[in-house]
Amino acid sequence: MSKGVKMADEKKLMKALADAILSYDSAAAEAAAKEAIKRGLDPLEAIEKGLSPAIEEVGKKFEKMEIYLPELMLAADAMRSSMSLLLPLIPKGKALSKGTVVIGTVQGDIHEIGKNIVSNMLMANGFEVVDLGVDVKTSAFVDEARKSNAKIIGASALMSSTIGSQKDIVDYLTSMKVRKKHAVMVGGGPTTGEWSKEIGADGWGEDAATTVKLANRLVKRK
Amino acid sequence: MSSFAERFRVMEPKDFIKDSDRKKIHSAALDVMETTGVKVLSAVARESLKRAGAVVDEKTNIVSFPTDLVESLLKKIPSKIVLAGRTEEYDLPLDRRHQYHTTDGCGISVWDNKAQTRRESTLEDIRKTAVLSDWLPYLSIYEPMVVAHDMPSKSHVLMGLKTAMENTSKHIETESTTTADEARAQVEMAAAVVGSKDELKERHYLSAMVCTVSPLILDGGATDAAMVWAENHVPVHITGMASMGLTGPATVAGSLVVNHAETMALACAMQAHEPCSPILYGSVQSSMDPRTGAYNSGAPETILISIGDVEMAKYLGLPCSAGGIGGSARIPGLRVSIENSILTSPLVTAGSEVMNGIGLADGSTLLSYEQMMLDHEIVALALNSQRDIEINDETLALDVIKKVGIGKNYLSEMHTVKRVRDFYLPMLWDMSPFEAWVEGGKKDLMEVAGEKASKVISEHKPEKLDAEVSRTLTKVVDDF
Ligand code: B12
Repeated sequence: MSKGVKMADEKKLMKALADAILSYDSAAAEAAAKEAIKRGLDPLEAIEKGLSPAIEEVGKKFEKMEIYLPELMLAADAMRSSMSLLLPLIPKGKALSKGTVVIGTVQGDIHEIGKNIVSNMLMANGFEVVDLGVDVKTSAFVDEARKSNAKIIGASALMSSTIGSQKDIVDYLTSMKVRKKHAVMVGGGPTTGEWSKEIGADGWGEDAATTVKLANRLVKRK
Repeated sequence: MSSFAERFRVMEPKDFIKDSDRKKIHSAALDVMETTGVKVLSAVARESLKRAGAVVDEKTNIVSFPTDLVESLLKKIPSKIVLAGRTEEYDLPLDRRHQYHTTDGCGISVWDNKAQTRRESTLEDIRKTAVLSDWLPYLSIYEPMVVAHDMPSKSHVLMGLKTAMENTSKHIETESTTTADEARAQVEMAAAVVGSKDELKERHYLSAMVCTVSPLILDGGATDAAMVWAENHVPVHITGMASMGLTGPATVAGSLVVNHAETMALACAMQAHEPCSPILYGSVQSSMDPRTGAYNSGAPETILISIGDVEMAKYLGLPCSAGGIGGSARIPGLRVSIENSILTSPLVTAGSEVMNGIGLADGSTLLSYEQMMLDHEIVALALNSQRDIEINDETLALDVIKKVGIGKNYLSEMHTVKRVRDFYLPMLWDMSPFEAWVEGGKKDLMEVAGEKASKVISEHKPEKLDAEVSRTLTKVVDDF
């Protein structure tokens, strides 16, 4: 229990956080986080007991087809609004993020719809995501991963003429002798599980939901 | 008019959206163009638009289009053009009374029907599909259907185009160009075929698909290329892809507004850059799969929104290449054929003049020779069911009716002998009895289609391209 906050109060604050996510309401999520901070709720607990169970519930509803992608995206937005206030208050070392994922669409490719969905879902599921956008150079993926100490690099490619850059990322990591430090996951239309194996990547994500499972596996492996 | 084009003559288009509603969509799009603006990532296009009078924010690259400017630039676009074949026989007039289908383009794998699996596409697939397309009677336009993975990535698009030019006499549409240099090289190639660059301005032997990036962006590379196409009067199919709920609003009307604004923005940029350059009002809009966001080209909303695009092309009085077939099923066969059958007819009725998409499944990524044949059959059925119903003395056949009188039949009348030739007979099936099917080895339609495709590819000899021209093409590819 958070110091100095009455049990009943704490329950109410947690419920406000969860309700905001469950009703896909970013403004309410921001307000609930502010209120929680003001009332002295421990930010780590606010996330772990308030927000996280709610977003997991949303995820389950999505898997059961009770809700569609737009609700999921809104829930992720709401999650972000709370998190951006709570996260900075958590002392380093107590980091609760599952880890950082550096994501982008490879060089020469500007398809971004799938990548954006994936990065939203990862954020909603507790990953810190650095989205480098589209047409991203191989070196930029790796430089950013090193800078932000990312556990995972995610590379999206929608064209058979650009998927080669996914291999370049793996090779570049190897040549820099940091291959073990960053797991590489690949995705996008023309990619397959086979392709991922062939280029020595650590996994392939068929869609956003499987990618979250994959990312969870990859960070546990470390 | 050549007899080839006559094959594609259809009845007068029917209107699905009334003029007052088209006007609402148009006004909404003009509002968006002026107030929200469109981000134009091509410096060349921005410069031309600025010179014409658009308001360009150099920091954000957002261009605001005053309504007067839009209206005056749109007036410059030719309302009727002819897409030329390598030979005049294959010329295709766009005059609202003809309806053409292209092959789909840029697939990345090929269906192996025997093994029920996919393999990577190669240059040989471009050659084979070009030969088959040259032969298929109801196919009008060839787009290099796949990516030639066995070619160097730098020149694979040019190699694909060269192979297409050498293996079919039909009009060619190029799809995958996203740099000005690649566009220039293709202009040189097309010029070599028709005789010269000047000649190419008159004979539109090559046309190009250029996509906008929804919502409200004109990409840098593709738009740079569009400026090159404009300079050389290569007709551009402006192909917005706003997908309902994802890159466009979740309503048909809202997504039409977004696409209309993007289409007019690129059309204006081209007219500002090169007045009177030919344009087709295109689009392959769709709805997303609401569960995953996946591209859902076979959805019923896709039909509605494509019809809407055709209506907006009619509103502007522009040639139209909106909508297409190309089912979203992951493998070829029954589901793609169902999707494509449903997609085709309403668009023919609405009056889309060029429709994209014969032969690829899985959202335009998987080539199937079998599906090519099935789609061709679907297109032929759609065209032949949309013919003008001729009413005149000869077709009323009053003489014959009186002559045959009561209770007999019309079989042995000269009128019948002559007119029965117009009846459409499918290529892949006939009305033979069940026993004939058993004796023929109980083949399913995919098998029949595949065998027919293989036979045509091995037997059909397309008209050869002049050897000197071929050498020029090789040189352009090698120098690239
Ligand atoms: C929409 C679209 C566009 C839009 C993109 C808009 C945007 N802002 O992103 C526009 C119009 C701009 C466009 C442009 C072009 N396109 Co395009 N496009 C498509 C289309 C129809 C759908 C792609 C899409 O958004 N799908 C929906 C999303 C949700 O699915 P997704 O991307 O697959 O993502 C999912 C998974 O793959 C996975 N995933 C995605 N990324 C990642 C990353 C990681 C790390 C992981 C684990 C998982 C993962 O999860 C996602 C969610 O489920 C495809 C056809 C198709 N069937 O894919 C063609 C397609 C990809 N395009 C193609 C082409 C050729 C082009 C152009 C060259 C056309 C032109 N003439 O301009 C240009 C290329 C520009 C460039 N330099 O990149 C070809 C590519 C062929 C090839 N060579 O491989 C395709 C296959 C269509 C075709 N046959 O012509 N395109």
